[in-house]
Amino acid sequence: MSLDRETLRQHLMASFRVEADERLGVLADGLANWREATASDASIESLFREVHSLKGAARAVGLAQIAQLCHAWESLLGAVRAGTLELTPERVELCRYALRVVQQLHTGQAAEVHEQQRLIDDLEAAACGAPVNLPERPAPLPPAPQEPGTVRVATRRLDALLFQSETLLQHKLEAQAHARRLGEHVLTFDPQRGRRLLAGGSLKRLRESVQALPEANRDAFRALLDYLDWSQAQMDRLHFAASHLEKAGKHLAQGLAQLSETLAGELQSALLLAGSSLLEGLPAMVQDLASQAGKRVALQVRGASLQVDKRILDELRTPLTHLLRNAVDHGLETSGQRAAGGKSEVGQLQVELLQESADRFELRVRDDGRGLAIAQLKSKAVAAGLLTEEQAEALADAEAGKLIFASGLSTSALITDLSGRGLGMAIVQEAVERIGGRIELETSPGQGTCIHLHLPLSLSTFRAVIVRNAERIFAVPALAVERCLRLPAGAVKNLENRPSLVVQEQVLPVWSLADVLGLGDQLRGEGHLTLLLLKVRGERFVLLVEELLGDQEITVKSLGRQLLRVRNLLGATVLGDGQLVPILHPGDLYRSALAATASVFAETTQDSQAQRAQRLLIAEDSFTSRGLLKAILEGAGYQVATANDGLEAWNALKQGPFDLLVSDVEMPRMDGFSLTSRIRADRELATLPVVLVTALHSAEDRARGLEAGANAYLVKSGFEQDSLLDAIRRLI
Amino acid sequence: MSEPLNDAARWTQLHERLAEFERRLSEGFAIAPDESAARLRERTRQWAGTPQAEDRQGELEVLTFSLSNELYAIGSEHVAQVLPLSQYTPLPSTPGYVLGIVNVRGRIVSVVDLRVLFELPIVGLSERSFLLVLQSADMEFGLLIDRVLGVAQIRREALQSSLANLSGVRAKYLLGVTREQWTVLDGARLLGDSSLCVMAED
Repeated sequence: MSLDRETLRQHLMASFRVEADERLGVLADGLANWREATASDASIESLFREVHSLKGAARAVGLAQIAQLCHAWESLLGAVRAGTLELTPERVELCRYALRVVQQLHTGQAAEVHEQQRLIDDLEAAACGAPVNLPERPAPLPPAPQEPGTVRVATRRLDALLFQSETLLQHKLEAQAHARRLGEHVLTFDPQRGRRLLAGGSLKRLRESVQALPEANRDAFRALLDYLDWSQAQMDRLHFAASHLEKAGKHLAQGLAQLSETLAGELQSALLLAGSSLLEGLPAMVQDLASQAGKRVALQVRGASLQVDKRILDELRTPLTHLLRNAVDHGLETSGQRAAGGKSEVGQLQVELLQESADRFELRVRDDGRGLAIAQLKSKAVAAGLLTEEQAEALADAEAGKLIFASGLSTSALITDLSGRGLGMAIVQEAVERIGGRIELETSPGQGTCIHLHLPLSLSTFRAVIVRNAERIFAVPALAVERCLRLPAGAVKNLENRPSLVVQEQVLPVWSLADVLGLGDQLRGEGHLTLLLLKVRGERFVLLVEELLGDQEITVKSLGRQLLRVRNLLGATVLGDGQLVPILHPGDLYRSALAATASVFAETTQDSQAQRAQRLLIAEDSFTSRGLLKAILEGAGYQVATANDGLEAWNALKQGPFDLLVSDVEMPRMDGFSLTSRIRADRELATLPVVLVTALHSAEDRARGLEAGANAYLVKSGFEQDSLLDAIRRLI
Repeated sequence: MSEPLNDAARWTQLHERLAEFERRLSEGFAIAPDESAARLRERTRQWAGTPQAEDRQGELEVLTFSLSNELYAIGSEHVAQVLPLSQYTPLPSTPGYVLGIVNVRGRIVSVVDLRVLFELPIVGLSERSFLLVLQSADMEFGLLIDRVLGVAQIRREALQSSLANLSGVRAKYLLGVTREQWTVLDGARLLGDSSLCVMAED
């Protein structure tokens, strides 16, 4: 085993020091109590155990002096514990003397050898019941304990602190959003000022002509001018106040940002541990496994000093164990096989931690074993129904290697027996993705396998791309997003009836996010398409979304205790404006997308038999109202599509069958009245029920709406969902 | 610590104790007959009487609320808090009874829509909906309700547990129906039912 023994020893020594400090502390306190009061059985038992454990620990790190002393001391306490000896004050004093000597040894002061030997003899003699000769000169007291440089903190408390710092981050984001909005608010005063300047000339002329006005009008006009002056002054005051508020808001946001970042930074560094803590115990495990399997393995560890977030390391422990176990069990050959293959008899297993960038690192597990048995893997995949014969035939080796991540395969015992590596690979992948990492695999027959885990150094640096789709907002882990594309609609072509896109000379499948998530139909804009190029487990695919809202740092929260694991979702996060947003799970999206395309035909046949959900179209230019309407209608069991204005709605209606249209009246490009008239004039759509929903609240408008051919006219100000739903139910 | 005694007092105390030990030893540690009888009577009384605690168990403190024009009640010990539900985030890929999630002071709580679970008519969210957060040691979720009506005491035995039109899913989570026609939900059953959890398989 080539793990640096000296490093290991130093590491163990550090652990021993911490442990011994604690145990000596307990012993000192316990002994101090014995002098003042009689010792209870429980306290004798406890001190006996402390001494015994200390002896064991000292032996483990090769501190023979302490171990011998403790051994003798233990004999004495053992006799007391068994009841064969009475705990006389002299014996207590001897114990205290022993403690001082051990403390002395522990702090690194060399004690004279003969004195130690005498103490050991004394302790052993005392254990046999001999009268105690207390040494005439007590050993010098060890120096007063120094201010401890480190403390132990329960992980639970750290978690609580982390939670607080996340809350602070949340407040920071909110404050920033408010400051931004205040800034926008201040800007809205500018057009008013501009227009005032433009109107200044006419106003001046009007003022001058006041005298010329007839008496009766003059006063009224003056009052009006006074009011105008006052209004302007008032407006200026408001503008001033708004600017002030903006400054204060910015200041607050900056202060919070600084505080939050400093706290997060401090906490993060408090949580950083050397990578070596991840590897503790693993070299021993590897050797055990190797000897069980009758193999020879040399484990090499590199880059173990890399500082990584404790939470990441905690999560990696199980995956790494799996990977090493797999490598030893299945990847590496026996000495005989290796020799026959012309390799050195000792299998090489390498674990390496590499920093990739400021916030990312790679954990690499490499073996020089036989590599993955691609052919067998393929045949098992065919047997499991994951691939057809032809697909398997056509599959490149690199692609086939990924089959080990298919959980259907990995859970089947067959593959585990066959080439190994199926064992728990899905679990490994799951764990890695949960902390925002990704996994890559390289294998070549006879040369070995190398698994790369690309991981964040810290959990708090989780960035996400925020997208909007079908009136809902989602966060996509930035790690999975290779590129964001904005392309003309024509760039997406149909290949074998499936949409696809050519990126960097590679043909990639395109799925709309709404389809993958089953959110109903997504209307394709005529202009440009917003596309996300995702890479998951080496697979690249393109996701069509409606709108890209930006990318930002997020904090990942779980979905609560009821929703343990929701397909397609990784968790949720709170955006700066307080909005709760689901975080998508890229790996799941890919699987769901594949499943969705596979079942397209099955679904269409089912649809014709089962009763089809009624489809409604909402035309509404306000994002909020649109979302509200959609939520209400979907809540009532309708299938809902949306359009941003009348023209878009018209195009949508021409494309697909709808059972009813709910439309706003005031919309850009084409308003509700024109849309309704146009529908009534169309041969196919003439009978489509139309519900106009509006803020316009006059009998005239109502009449106009009905005249245009609307079936119902609901006023937003008195907008109750029940009346809308009633109207819809009456119409369809 | 007791007051330090002077030597004489200590000795007296010691003698008294020794005398007491001697007495007990001579009696072979037996208890005096009348004392023993008294103890037995006391024990009998304890066992015969209906404990008051059980009386209180017969009573159930419930929180009553309305949902889809029906009246419901649930044991108040399961209710952690009630909040106005201003907005929620719907989640894709969840069963229909999961309305979505809400942010409750930095924690995320899922919202269960009983109307879906109980197949009640769904008429859209009313203007003012509330969230009833249910909690147990290892489960937490919220129930969407229309309005909280109050807290009441009901007697367990007054609950009618079998009603012809209560069947299937609805009956599964019900303790029974009161004379006032409140449907009393079984909070422990709701919280303990793992089939309400969402655990997607990989």
